[in-house]
This record gives sequence, C-alpha cells and structure tokens, in this order.
Amino acid sequence: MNTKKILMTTALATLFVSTLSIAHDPSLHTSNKEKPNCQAMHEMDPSMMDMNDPVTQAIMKQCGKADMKEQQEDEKTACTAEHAKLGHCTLEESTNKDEGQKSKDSEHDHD
Amino acid sequence: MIKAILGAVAIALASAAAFIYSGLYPMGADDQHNKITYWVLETMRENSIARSAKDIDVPELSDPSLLLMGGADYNDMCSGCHLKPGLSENDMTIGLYPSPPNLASRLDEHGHEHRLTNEDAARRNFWIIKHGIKASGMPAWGPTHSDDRIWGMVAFLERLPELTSGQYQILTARSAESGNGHH
Ligand code: HEC
Repeated sequence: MNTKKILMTTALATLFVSTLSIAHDPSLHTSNKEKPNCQAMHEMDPSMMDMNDPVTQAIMKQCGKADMKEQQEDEKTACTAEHAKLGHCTLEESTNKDEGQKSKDSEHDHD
Repeated sequence: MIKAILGAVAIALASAAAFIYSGLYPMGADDQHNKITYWVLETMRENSIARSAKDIDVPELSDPSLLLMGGADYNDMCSGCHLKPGLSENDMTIGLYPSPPNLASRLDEHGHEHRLTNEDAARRNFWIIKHGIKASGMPAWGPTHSDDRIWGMVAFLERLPELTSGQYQILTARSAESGNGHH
C-alpha cells in the first residue's frame, strides 16, 4: 500500500520535472542561448535579398541586433572620446537603448 | 423477424465485448493500423478539426517579430518531433505512431492531402497546436501558451519548408532577443 503511494508520488514528480525540459516560458530558455550565425547573411549579395519579405526582415532584425550587441561590447572597452566625436560610438549608450526598448514592447505586448 | 434482428444485435454486441476484453487488438506503436481503421481515424480527425477551426480569425502573420518569436519557440518545443532543415528523421519520427510529420519539408510524406488555402491551413495549424490531437504524440500547447505565442509558430510554420538550415539557425537563435526573463 505504502509502496504504491511512494511510486505514485515519484511518478508524478518525475512527470512534473520532465515537463520542465519542454518549458514554455522564453525566459527559461535563455540558458540554452545560441548566437545567430550571421556570417552567412553578411556574405549574401544584398541585391538578391527581398527586403519586403518578412523572412529577410526577420533575419536582418536578428543579425542587426547581434551586430549591435557586439558593437556595444566593443564600445564598452574601446570607446574613447575621439571615437565618439567621429560618431563611431557614444560614450553613454542612448540611441541603441531606445531602439531595443521599442522592439521589446512591440514583440511582447501579449501579456 | 424482430426476434431474429434482436438476436443478431445481441450477438454483435457480445462479440464486440468479447473482442474488447480478449486483448486481441494490437496496441503497439510499431504495428500500423489496417487501411480501414486508418481511414476512419484520419477522416474523423480531419473533419473534426475543419469543423472546430472554421470560425477562427486569422491575424496578420507577416510581422517579422512574430516569425522570430515563433521560430525560437518552434526550435525549443517542436523540432524534436517535427524536425528542422537538414534533418529527415529521428527517434521520434521513426518511433511514434502516428508519426509526427516533417514540418520543415514541403514533401507531403504523411500522406493526407493539403488542398487548403493559406488561411485555412493557418486555422488548422493554430487549432492543432492549441488543442493537440488525441491519442497521438501531439500535445495541446494551449493550456500553457498564449494565443500570440501560438500564432507566432503558425507564422513560422508557413515559411519553414522554404528555409535553408542557415536561415533557420538565424531565425531560431534566442541570444539576439532583447528581452530577458520579463514573463
Ligand atoms: C512528442 C512529439 C511532438 C511534439 C513535441 C510536437 N508534436 Fe506536433 N504532432 C505530433 C504528431 C505525432 C502529430 C501527428 C498526429 C496525427 O497524425 O494524428 C503532430 C501533428 C502536428 C501538426 C499537424 C501536421 C499536419 O499537417 O497534419 C502540426 C501543425 C503540429 N503537430 C505542430 C506542432 C508544433 C507547432 C509543435 C511545438 C509547439 C509540436 N507540433 C510539437 C507530435 C509532436
């Protein structure tokens, strides 16, 4: 009788834990981060890309963001006043932040 | 006459019950349905889904951010069963019965006809993802996911068969996402 209960509890617990691996919340997936491999896109001929196609737009969006991230990381280490004057970077990131905020809102207005 | 009919009905019911209790029906996933059972199940499934899905309003699906949301979700939750560009089979597609169709391929290997308009195909996919399919490996994702998340996957599925594996990788990678755990 008791063994049955224990088995049942174990089974339910296992079932519950196993559902975590197919978790649905995007925030839970961030551990399994994969960088978009944008090299392939950069090698493509821009005139061959249809800018009105949502797939192309989505790829540009992904790779634009990834590039921006890299750039921002570069900036953190290498933004000198001189570079900033040339417009290569900003000492205080402001424009980029705005942009990120905007797309965040529009993407996730469902809850 | 009436007696004879009643007798026949009684015998039919008794033998149906005997069959159910006998354990003779093959239950293994590696033992495929016969043609009649297959036809009955498939016809029932398709007509049921078409009836339930017919009044679903299809939103605008061409927003690139919808594709990105759906792409990442698809890669995490669905590609294990429904494959992705560059893969043609895995343990799930071989071992599950009914087998999960390869949604990354245009080839209609799973045998039923797709003479649906884009809108009807979107409705059908939305309904299937939200409610799942009984007694198959296809789970209902509705209880745990918002309709928006599901439409994202519907949008992604529309384009998936034409994606190269390079495009697929870019569209489904999560690291470029700006949000971090705001849900
Ligand atoms: C455990 C395996 C499994 C997982 C995970 C899974 N599915 Fe399925 N799916 C199936 C099976 C099996 C079928 C076929 C059911 C049938 O033929 O009755 C199916 C059918 C479908 C269909 C109908 C295909 C057609 O044209 O007939 C769609 C669309 C679908 N799944 C989408 C999804 C999406 C989107 C996800 C991720 C959120 C997902 N599935 C996750 C197993 C799975």
